[in-house]
Amino acid sequence: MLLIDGVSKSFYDPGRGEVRAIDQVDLACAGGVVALVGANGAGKSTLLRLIATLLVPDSGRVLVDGIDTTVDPEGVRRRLGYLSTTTRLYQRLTGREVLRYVGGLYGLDDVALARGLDQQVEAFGLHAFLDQRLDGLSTGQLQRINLARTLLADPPILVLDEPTTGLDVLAARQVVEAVRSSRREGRLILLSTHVLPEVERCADRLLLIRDGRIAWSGAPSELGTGEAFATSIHGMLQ
Amino acid sequence: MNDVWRIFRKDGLEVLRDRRTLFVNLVLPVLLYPVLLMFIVQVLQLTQAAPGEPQRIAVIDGPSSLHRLLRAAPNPDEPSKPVRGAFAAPKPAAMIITQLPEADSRRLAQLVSDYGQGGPAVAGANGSSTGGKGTAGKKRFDHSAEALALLRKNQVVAVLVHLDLPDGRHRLAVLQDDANSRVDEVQSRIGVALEAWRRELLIERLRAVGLPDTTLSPVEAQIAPLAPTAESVRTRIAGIIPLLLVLLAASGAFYPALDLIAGERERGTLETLLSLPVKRRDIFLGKLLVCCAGALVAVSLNLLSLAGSVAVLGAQLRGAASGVDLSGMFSVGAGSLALCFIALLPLTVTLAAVGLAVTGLSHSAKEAANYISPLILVVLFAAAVAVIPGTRPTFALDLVPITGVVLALKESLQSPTPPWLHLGLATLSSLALAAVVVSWSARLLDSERFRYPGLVRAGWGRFRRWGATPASPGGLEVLGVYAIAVMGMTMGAGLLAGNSTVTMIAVPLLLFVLAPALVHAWLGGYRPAAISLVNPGWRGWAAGALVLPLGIGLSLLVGGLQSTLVPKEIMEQGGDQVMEAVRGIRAQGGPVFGTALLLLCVAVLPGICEETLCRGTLLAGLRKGLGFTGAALISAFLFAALHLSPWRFAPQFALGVLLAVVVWRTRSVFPAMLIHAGHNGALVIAELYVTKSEAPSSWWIAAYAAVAVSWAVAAWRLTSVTKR
Repeated sequence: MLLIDGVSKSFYDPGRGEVRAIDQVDLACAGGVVALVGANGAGKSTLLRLIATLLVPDSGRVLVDGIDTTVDPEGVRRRLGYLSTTTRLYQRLTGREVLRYVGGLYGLDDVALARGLDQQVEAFGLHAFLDQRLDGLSTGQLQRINLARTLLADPPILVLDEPTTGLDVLAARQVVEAVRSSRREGRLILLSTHVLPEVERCADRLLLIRDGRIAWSGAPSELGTGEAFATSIHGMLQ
Repeated sequence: MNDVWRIFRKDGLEVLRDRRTLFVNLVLPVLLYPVLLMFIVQVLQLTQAAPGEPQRIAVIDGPSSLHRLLRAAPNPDEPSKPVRGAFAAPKPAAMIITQLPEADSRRLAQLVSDYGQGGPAVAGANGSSTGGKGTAGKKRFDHSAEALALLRKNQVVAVLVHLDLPDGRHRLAVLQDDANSRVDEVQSRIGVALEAWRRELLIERLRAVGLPDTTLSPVEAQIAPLAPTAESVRTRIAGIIPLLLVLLAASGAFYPALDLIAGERERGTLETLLSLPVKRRDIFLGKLLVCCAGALVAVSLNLLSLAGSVAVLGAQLRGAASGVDLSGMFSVGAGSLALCFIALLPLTVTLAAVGLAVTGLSHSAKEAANYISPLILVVLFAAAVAVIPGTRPTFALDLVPITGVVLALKESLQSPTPPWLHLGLATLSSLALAAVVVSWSARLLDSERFRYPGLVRAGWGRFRRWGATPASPGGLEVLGVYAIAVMGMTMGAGLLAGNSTVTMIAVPLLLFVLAPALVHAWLGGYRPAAISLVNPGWRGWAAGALVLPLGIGLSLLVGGLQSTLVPKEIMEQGGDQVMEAVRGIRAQGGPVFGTALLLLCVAVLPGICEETLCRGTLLAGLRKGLGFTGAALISAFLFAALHLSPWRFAPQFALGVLLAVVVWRTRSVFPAMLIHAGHNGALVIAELYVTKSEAPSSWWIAAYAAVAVSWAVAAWRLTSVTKR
């Protein structure tokens, strides 16, 4: 369960002065896929970083399963799997080493870690390159390991910030499959993306973000399908 | 701790797998030592093997005995024994006494003659003159350019012009080309020849009056060097070892630091790590451990390589030193080395934490790399004092980071008994600094500015709005302000030396203690309340007045305890200096004005200035990161250290802790100013006007203690009513 209550966040920009990246946002989500769509700089990543405790709100509260992100950030992170375009993996380690390291930091014991590792290897087909150093893997293979890293500790909430950026069609499809599978497992998934078909395919709820505010919120189907869906979104974001 | 260990293992593994960095930072220096030492030995060998160019000098009108002695004079810098082994050097270069053309000889003799009696024994090319024995004179040689032209025309390094004086003495002017690269050798040889000539002449005269040659040597002293040469050489170069260790530790810590936060942030792995359920402090500590381990490995490997290289090249070094055994030159013993490591450990931790913090605050790994060179320069200069001959540890220097440890280590390598007091104080001071730096820097990852420097960095724009966030200063800022105050007090004292005592006390306090604190608050846009500059209300003022007796009593008690532990001479020396200054101020203005001036200088001004800095700025900034107890202790330590006096350290520390509690209770620095000023004033007045004929009775002390404590309790209760 995620509750965002009157959250604001400003940055100082030398050219523009104080910039309100998030402005009085309220949001409550219990499960399913919540897609965040907006132009670059609209505030999607800032909002997700506030949820992931990477940033601290200037005002308002973010509660994850009732835990305030400023009071117990470790407790919040224990319930989250966070993946963004800027979360990379250690190039000089193997996939297995990375997953074991992350599992250890999530506090998984050896049995739970072995089980989680097997599940992720199976789910993302990591057998072939799990023991290779990451600096020798392709972008798609790296993203599969990154997804496995995010899901390893079985967190109830996934925060995915443009997870398909830079991926080829096959790898992007695998990410979308992972999102749908997570939804089936009952997780809450916050998905920021620019790819509208992805939203149509897997989102239960759509948030249009503009100038740090939620400009529109509702089911994607309310905006039509295909070309009509895209046109509606473009219209609302302009 | 599990997470710290996990992060340490993972980062360590990554560092170990980064073969290129590992090779450049660890293996290459290790390989370079033997190569560089071999290069130096080869250069020495080739230099010594090359036939020396003859040194040409000329003598005008000199007696034959002088010619003979000049030809026979050895260079005192050359080894007396024949050289063996790898350094089979040729015979020393000959000194040729050449004949100048008649005209040039006459002209030079004329110049020296014009110069007159009492002129220089030696005249350099730049016209400077050096008085010799028996002929010393300060007169300037005005014909330098002409004489130098004649010397260079005839390709001679020096010309000796001899003149007979009417009283039977000899006058000898040595004109030398100071810019010639061989002038030192020539000067040494001429010095030897002149000494021999002087002795011959004296013996001749003694014999003429029937006295034996031994009249010249009424005392025959013999110096017998007992220690092995290697040991005495090692003592002379003892400063190099701690300098080398500190530099190796710094570079060993800084380079991993560069990669572990700034590099990781750039590669995107830091955000991954920060999104995991692990405390940011543990992340920092794990990375700090990697830096420390890197530094210790670098130091150990470099020392091993250096020792190995010296051992391998020992035979050639022996040859270079004419059969003198230098093979144990770099062996300092396992005990001393262990001592070095122990003393260096807190320093290494501090350097690693500073490296991580500074590189982490930069926008990119490239920017972080730019900070490494200045950091190493700071370390180099702070440690380089150890290689200056004659530098010794002092109690004040023990408190200076890096310098204190390096000097104490140098002393312990030089003397048979380690200077335990200096080593202990320097190590404790390093430990305190490490505690402050680590506890401050370990919280850096909690700051958004540290996690996303490009995104949320407010820049100088935040200074545009008075009172804008952040509400109170940060730890690094206030330590910077304190460093400026210490530098100002130290340098200001030197610059103001010679002025009146009032100026020497008041100006540094106002300029270097009060001003930095206020300017910092203004630049940072902090409200006066952020540094406790607020009216405490009547309760606060009353509490200040009530705690004053406890402050005086505590200071006297700690001072008394200290006098039983610290050597008496140190105590009295410090006390004498302070009291001498105090009496000087009173003497300036007479009994009434002088006393008022005295109270202004030693009570009111220190109370205002030092409290604004130490209990205002420092306590507020440190409290943010360390909590109240840590901030109170560290600010009291820094307050005591600010006085740069071991004599006053312990009482000031105790007073500092008490004043911090007062500020905490009253939420204002003004009651602390009142106590500080009252304390200083009471002690100085007592020292000047109260006779010390008899010590106060136990009853009196007990009554005073009872009053002081009960008043302090009353102050505590009074301030507890204040809304907190």
